[in-house]
Amino acid sequence: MNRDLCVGIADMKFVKETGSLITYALGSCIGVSFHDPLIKLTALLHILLPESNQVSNEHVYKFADSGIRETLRILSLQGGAKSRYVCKVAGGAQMFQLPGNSPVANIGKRNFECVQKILQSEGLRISNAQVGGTIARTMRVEAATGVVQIRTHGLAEIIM
Amino acid sequence: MDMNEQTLDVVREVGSIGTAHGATAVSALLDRKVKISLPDVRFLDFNEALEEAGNLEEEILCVLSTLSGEMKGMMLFLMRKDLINQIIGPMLGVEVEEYEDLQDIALSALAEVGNIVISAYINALAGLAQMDIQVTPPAISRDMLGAILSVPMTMLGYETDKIMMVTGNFIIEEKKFDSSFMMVPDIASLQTLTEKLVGRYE
Repeated sequence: MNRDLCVGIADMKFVKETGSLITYALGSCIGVSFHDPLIKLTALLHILLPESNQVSNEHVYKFADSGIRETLRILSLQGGAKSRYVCKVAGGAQMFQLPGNSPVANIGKRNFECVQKILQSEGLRISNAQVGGTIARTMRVEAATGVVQIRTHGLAEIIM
Repeated sequence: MDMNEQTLDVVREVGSIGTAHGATAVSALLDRKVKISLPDVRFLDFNEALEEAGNLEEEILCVLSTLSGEMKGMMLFLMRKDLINQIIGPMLGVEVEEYEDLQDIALSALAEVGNIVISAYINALAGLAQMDIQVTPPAISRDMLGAILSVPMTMLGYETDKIMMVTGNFIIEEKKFDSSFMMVPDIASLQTLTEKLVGRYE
């Protein structure tokens, strides 16, 4: 377990063949795993917000649109092929019931909608998702298989 | 943005006045000697802040209010079990082993205590800086520490990758509790605040 490579907030990492990736405590943030089963290439992306609105390209992984596109670019350099990717998604919860005028109200839902939209526009399908609700999730993915484990408080571990 | 030592000193000073008011409010409510340690002011990258927070999967309770008006940002009151029991014990005569055991009445009581502390802090700050600041009613969550800390980061995320946290620890009857009180202003409000205050200190 302690060999997991940790993916921070607004971050992406990938591994090939062996090892695993983990990102902790996704609340309204979203974790997206990409797995190419042929070459056992696996990436895990942790985004914070939906559209980048061209804010800056310095922190591409902070946003769903720029984060997904950059991840796809990096993976293709590693020999990954979009046609083979299995994508799994977790997070997008609402941690607090904030007033509707708060800039972060519904951010989890907006994050997920944006992730769906961008993946679709890239011709990718989400094979499994554990999203929404009011719970935080830790997401771990195995490089060799692309199998994802979801840890939460109060619920049994979910394998997807 | 540029955060010089002087700015940090001013924020620390204002923070200590705010937390003193917050502590006095809780003290009156619990009828116990309550203090909040001198606040620590830090300006960190998101991931540095999360690393410093410790175990991101740790379950914790948090009361959160959003600030609006001349000061935008969030106030977070992170409570661990020992502090929770110090609060609900005298108020309701109950103690809990797990966060899940907290009943609605205990959650309302904790949200109210959070609200009192947050309001006392903000009133002190607003008075000192002569700023008009509104506080939303508190929202409450009990879940992973990392997910809770990401909430102010989503608020700041379009402007910056750094978070400024003014934190203080609770001390009740001379015993220090590892629960903290945190103010996270947005960048523009922080500038307004320091402009209003630094001038006065010079």
